[in-house]
Amino acid sequence: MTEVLTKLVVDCSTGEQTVVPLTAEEIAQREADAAAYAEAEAARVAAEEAKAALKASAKAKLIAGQPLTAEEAEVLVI
Amino acid sequence: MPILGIIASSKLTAVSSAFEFIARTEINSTQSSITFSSISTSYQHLLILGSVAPNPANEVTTIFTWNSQTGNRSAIYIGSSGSGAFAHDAVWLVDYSGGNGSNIFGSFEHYVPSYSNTTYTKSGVSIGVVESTSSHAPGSVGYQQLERTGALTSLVLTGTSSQSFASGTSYAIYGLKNS
Repeated sequence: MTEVLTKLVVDCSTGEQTVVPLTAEEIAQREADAAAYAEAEAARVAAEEAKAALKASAKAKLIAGQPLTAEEAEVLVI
Repeated sequence: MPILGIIASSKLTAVSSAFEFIARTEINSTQSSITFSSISTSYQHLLILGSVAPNPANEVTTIFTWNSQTGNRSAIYIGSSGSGAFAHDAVWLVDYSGGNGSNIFGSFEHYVPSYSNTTYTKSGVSIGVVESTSSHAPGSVGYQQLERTGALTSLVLTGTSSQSFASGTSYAIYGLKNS
């Protein structure tokens, strides 16, 4: 049995509250929002991980006395 | 007493003594979204409070959609990933809120100055916290921008990741007038 997605509508002028099924357009928007959020969150996590990796690499090279790449130097400059 | 309201309103020459109640709901069954329609424009500023539990139980953010406008809006957040603070650009007006366990409620407050103004573009500021079953219960602060000059008269609240709001979730809206 397919789950019927519903929303609660609160009319602020009357205080009336009504539960109604989502329209096809609302379901599509909901799915689009979820996909966009997942994409943005994945990009954030990837950027965070890439920056952490660069810092670790830069630190290791500094300790070893090796030259840094421009990207590695960039993450160390405040 | 709402913190954001005090801060944002401190630049006004005169404000009324208290926020006035506009509407509140506490749901008793899972809902995909919650709509506040016909929001009066007789106030200058709005405060929205939420106590939110997602279904299925996981961390959830709340997406704010004003007057059905899904474009020309943006947001930035400062939050915590559990290993440190981070700044996060977001494509919607959202607040970190909602718990990540069964029957755990996160909370937030969201302040929208000059929501009824018809000249300015709209903005909002928020603070929120994700309650948790672990030791990590991150807080967040956020700024939201909506490129819209018309008054804000309807608000749809939805969860990210196709999550719904669990029973017990509640939202309330208050208005503040310049005296």
